[in-house]
Amino acid sequence: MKKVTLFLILVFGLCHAMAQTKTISGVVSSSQDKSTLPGVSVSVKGSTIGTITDIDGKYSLKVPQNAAALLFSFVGMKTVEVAIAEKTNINVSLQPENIAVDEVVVTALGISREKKALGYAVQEISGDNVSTNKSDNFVNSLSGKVSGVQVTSAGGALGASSRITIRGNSSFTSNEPLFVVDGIPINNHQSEVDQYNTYGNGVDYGNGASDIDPSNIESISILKGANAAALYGMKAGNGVIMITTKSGSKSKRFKINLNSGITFSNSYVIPDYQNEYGQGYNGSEYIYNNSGSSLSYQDYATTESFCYADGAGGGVYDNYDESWGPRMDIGLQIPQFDSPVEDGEYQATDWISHPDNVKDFFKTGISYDNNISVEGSGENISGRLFLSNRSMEGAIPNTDLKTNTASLSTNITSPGKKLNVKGTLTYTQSKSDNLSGQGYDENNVMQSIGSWFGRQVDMKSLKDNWKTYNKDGNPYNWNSNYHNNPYWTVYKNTNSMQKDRVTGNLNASYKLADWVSVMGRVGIDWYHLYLKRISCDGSVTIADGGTFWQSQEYNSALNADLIFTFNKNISSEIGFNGTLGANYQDKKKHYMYFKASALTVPDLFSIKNVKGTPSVDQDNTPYKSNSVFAAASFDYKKCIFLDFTARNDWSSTLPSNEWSFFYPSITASWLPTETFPSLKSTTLSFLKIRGGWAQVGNAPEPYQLTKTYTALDSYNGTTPFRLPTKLPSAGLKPEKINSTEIGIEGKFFNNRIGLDLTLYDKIARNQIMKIDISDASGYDNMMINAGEIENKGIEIQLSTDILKSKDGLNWTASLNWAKNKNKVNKLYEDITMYQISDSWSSLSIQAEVGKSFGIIKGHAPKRNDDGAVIVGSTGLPLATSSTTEIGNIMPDWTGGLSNTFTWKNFSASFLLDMRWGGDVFSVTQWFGAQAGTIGFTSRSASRKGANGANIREVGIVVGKDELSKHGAVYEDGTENTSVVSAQTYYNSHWWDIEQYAIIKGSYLKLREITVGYQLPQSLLERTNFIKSANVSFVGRNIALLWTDSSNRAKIDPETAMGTSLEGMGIEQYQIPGTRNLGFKVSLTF
Amino acid sequence: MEIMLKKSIQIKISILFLAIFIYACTGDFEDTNTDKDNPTDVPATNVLGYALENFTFYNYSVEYCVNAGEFGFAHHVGKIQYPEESIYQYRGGDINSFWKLCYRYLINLKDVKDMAKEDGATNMEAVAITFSSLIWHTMTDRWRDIPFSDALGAEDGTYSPSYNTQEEIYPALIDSLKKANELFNQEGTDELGDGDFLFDGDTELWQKLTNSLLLRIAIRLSNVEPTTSKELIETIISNPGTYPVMTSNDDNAYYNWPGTDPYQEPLYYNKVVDSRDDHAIAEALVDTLKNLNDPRLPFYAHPASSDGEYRGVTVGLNGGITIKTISRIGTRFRDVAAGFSPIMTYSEVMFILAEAAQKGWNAGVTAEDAYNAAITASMQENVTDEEGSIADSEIAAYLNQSGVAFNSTLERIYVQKWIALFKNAEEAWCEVRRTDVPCFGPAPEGVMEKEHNRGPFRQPYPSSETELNKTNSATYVANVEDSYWGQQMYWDTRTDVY
Repeated sequence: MKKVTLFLILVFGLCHAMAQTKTISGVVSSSQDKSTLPGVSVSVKGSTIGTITDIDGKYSLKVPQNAAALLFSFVGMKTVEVAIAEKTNINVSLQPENIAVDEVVVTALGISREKKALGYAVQEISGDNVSTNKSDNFVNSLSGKVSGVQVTSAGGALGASSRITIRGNSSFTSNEPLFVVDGIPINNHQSEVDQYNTYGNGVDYGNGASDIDPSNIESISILKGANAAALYGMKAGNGVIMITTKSGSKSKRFKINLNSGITFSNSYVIPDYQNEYGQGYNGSEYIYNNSGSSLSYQDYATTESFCYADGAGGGVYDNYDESWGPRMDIGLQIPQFDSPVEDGEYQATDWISHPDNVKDFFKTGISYDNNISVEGSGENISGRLFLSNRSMEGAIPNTDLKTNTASLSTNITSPGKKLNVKGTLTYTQSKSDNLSGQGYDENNVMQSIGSWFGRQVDMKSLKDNWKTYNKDGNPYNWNSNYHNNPYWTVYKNTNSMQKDRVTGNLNASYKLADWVSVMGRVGIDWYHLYLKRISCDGSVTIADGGTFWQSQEYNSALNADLIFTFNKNISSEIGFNGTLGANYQDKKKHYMYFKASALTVPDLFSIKNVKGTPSVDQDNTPYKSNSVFAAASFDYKKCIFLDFTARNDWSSTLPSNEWSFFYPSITASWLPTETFPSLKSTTLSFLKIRGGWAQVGNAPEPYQLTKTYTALDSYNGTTPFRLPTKLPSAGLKPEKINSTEIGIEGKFFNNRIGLDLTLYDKIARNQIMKIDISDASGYDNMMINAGEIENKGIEIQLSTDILKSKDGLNWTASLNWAKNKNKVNKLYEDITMYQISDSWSSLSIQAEVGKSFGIIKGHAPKRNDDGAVIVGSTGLPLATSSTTEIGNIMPDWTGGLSNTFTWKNFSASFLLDMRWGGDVFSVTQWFGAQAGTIGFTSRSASRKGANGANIREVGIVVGKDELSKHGAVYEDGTENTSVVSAQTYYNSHWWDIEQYAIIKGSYLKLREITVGYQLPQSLLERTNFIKSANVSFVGRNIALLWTDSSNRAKIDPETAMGTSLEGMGIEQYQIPGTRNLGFKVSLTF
Repeated sequence: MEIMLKKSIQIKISILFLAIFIYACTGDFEDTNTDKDNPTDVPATNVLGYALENFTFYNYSVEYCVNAGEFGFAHHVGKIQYPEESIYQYRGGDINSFWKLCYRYLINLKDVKDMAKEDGATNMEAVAITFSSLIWHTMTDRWRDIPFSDALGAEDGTYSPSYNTQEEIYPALIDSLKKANELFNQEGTDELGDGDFLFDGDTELWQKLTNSLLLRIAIRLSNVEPTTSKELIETIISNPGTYPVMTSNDDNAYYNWPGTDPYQEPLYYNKVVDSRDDHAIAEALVDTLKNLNDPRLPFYAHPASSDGEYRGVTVGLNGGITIKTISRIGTRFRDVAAGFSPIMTYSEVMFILAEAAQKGWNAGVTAEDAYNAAITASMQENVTDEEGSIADSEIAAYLNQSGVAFNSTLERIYVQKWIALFKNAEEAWCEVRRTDVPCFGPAPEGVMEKEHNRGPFRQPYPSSETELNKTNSATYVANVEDSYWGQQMYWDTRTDVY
């Protein structure tokens, strides 16, 4: 393991004037659990001089020499008055006034505020919640825990990205929320993975946020709407995920924390395959019986259906990668790829099934996760060092990912407490020798073994012999026509990557006066990403000698902020907080790529070894923006709160007359239980009503305004150029998202039950979008401001302490549920349809005016008024003449239920995660049926008279064995009685009707289980140095408990390609998801 | 008090800094948003090179030719694996793409033309017009009525162009090609540059292609507009100084591929780079060549690996093909990375003249002489290292044998033209539709709802056009039946076909 240690030295010198006042400082804590209290209002009695305590509960206040007493007040706590006299240090412990709601959350720009003062929905989850039961991508850990947040993981490929959206999709471009770490926006970049590997890059190298080690997270605040995020401006319209990393500032002593975990991962959702018929064509009994052949079934099988000679068409259908061949396990003897060769001929061997052949390919992946943190603090300084090493192996053989993180944070305060300097620097290195291919790509093994496969194939033969060659000189494989041996694929055709990333921030704040302080902050996010994909000599579809490509990407982002904060009560009843600030962003991306399509010396993957001319590419995309923003918060008697924000951005990507744009927000909240204490009772402990309106602007990506030519690969030394296919628009305007939300929060039965309900309406207008135009206009599409998408929704969080007992069993349950309704109100002029993506045959995903975003269009079977399917004279369903709506990719609702039990030193929790709706075009179902490999292509016929015989023996009657719900009729209305072979139905007919492959994406998953045991203190005291010790058993993705019956192939309905919109709703040979089980030990010294 | 004042000054200074910070730095925004990796101006020849290469690659590729049907439609080539396209389970994506690509080439050629005009580069302008006309011709013969005069106007705000009928497009193409010929006759001094991947800067060859394309258009109209057709052919042939046409195989418009990735002959690319083995020579072609003892057979086809026989694939079989028994496409046409794509040949010119003469028009040559010259030229095109070339004696014997020797029928001209057009599926399919010779009879039983007694008349409109240009395309989309049938081409005078 390569370890890197980084040191950050902060030197700062400053002179400042002293006032004719004296300074009183101290710490405010809670009498209940002795924890320090941030956000407590500290004021001089009878004056407007005051401050609030910082995140550590500390305060420092300059008071006039004649000040008599200090008042400490905090919502939910009894106000305390302390006489000053000669004291300079006053520590106070506050008593709860009632059962209090004293939650403090981190809001935009890193400002800590009482949650009750906020007029918008914020949900916070603790670092433990994502670090104890870790996912290899931390984004996955948010699934089911936050209402309105939809996480879609791409399946079981190690290192793959996860898509996250908050409150639905409102944009045709990016719907990703903004990730902010310690106040600095970070790049959640994504790899350009797509369905068919168009970019030669069918690999998902992960999203930027997955670089964050959950063990280093203190807390996560999710700002769901534009209202919460208005201060972040551009890119925050889709919400903000604010991550606060751990720092040493809270510990009062030297502390070492050690975490060590091991996790085993296994593929847990493998599609359902049939095990009755093997590779070949025309092999079913039905076709044999109708062929008029006088041969025995054994002789028919080897002469007409399948016989292996070279795997490339030299035998009988041995080039076919389909399983429409002879029946297995009935004593047939057929030459196969792993049969012995005598006199140059493959000998007949037992034609038998290997039901677990797909499962056998996957292995148990083992992941190790070790990290150590050292933290400590002195009078004016504190610091924390975090080192972590994660080493993960995937369930797909020869896939791995190693991540090392080193992070150092320091916090220095001047003796007079006026100046505070803090900083964090984090270095992360992610490395992989091979990540799995995805999508419809030969580098995705599921394309062959998961669909286009011979069901008789013994995976062990492929595993044992993949390094050898067959008698024709081709690599040893079951098929030499279309596919590589899956082991060859994963061992020889690899996708390696290395990413080195440095993020950091330096933050200096200075108290100019008691009521005003200024903070300057600089943040960086730099990374270098190196990718290399190689394909060895001998692979199918690869030129002699092999091919490779390599790319390097360097990204830098600089963020600088200057922020003034004001804190001055206008009167004893009206409080005021203000913020005035500016932000500067400077981002750059440098990209370089080269590719050798053929190599001179085989398998030497250096560009110097290229045969012919290498393909090259280079891009530099800079981006700059400036912003100013202001916020004002007023409160009346701490029970009515009113917040205003305003922001103006200047973006380099807009034309000069449009590059400045302004947008405001207003939110309010009211606490009736504080205004009218009489409302409070044991039933109703707390009530809050909130609401607000906000607008957020957004700017386009760089280079959308001018027409530039695109260069193509050099042609005998000449570079062909072509016009762009996207018509640029010189007159783009910033886009605007308007959001309105109202909410109510209540705590009932002495806080035993908490409810938070939000209604929102978000309208994205004037979107900067790429709209398709008639190709005959000369361009494929153009950039315009158009469209209007509306998302309306409801979010509910319910938390209950079902059992509460100091020494007995405690049970808390919390429920998150959200429903989002989406409507495309407008596109552009008379254009009513916008294609989001397309797939096989005529399948497309569209946004259509008047309908919900993301409808799936394709052909369906023609039906009569009674719903019966209309078949042609051959008994096969007729397709609708044009494409029609056959599904929608947006889920109806999402929800999560988590339960935590504690009993003495034991704790246990589990999380159920559910989605309803969200249709998927499943290519596994689509081609799996056409290839005859998926389970339902060999099942019992259900019609009467068939006596439950296999459909490959007795054929299919449409309307009875398939599409039986409303029956099937001929065009003249009489009942269909025609029998068709299963092969004709699935192999030939399915292509015409995409609806067959639409599955409802609903699921119920047991997402997480954690069982922990805290070693008793009495035991630890004997060791004298271990302060606390904890062991836990953790499990993720335990079970897919329920999926819809339309999911006939039994895939994991949670599926996506990368993080882009184009990857939604289309499943292209997903890598089976993995179930992760492991143990974890945590020690504190 | 004094100190408090200082404090307020401190605050004011800080806020002043903030203000400067905001306003000082939009100065470099325009520069920041200027793409320094991609040019806003390029030489016309480099854009020409793109259009020439890319159109040829796709028009002669399996995706847009075979898969979308034309090889199969012309019964030159059929599918031996994944036969969906030959039973009309067309891939909508391929239709969309080719339509889209054609307009993309056309707007780039328009750009070349505009640049040439500005520079007074008459040769470059003429080349851009000629190649544009070739693409328009290809498109109208696939789709009949298309956006034409109103097309390519996105930059002027025309996003949904109106349509022109084929009846309107043909005269316009004749005018364009004549215009190009006039420009060539101005004998401009501008050079075509490195981007002329077709003729390497030889404007004489370009001019011959221009006028030969006029002949192609003329003969296509010969049944429906005989007067126009006759006048055009006679004008060209009687003024060779003004209208030079191809006069030998040296003038052939062969697009010769460099052979380095990605610029490899498209069928080779499909076979070797994409590692596909889905296409083989069609039964009708193999049988015809066999029956005529045609010496071109070993050039056109490989013997089947199972028994060394020449055996074609029946176009339109839905599976059930044992591929080792089928002949693949011959070396010269599919096995060479630096192979060729035939845009137009001298042989085709002579077949056009043979037909014109046979119709009694003045073609400057007798029908028989033109016919023999056309076949001879076609034979002589076939030269490879493995098979050598076809001896003059073999050609002479072939021309004299019954079944080949000229018998003053159009049918014989058509059959031989169909053979000679091998690999130019586009043109072969047009001729089969125009002449009904050879007649392949009923379309294979596929997925269409009713039976058809002939193969496809046309291609379906792309779904992009029916969705994005709905108002303008609706009338024309309604003329299509079962995707590939419906209204016949303007020049398709066959009757009782459906």
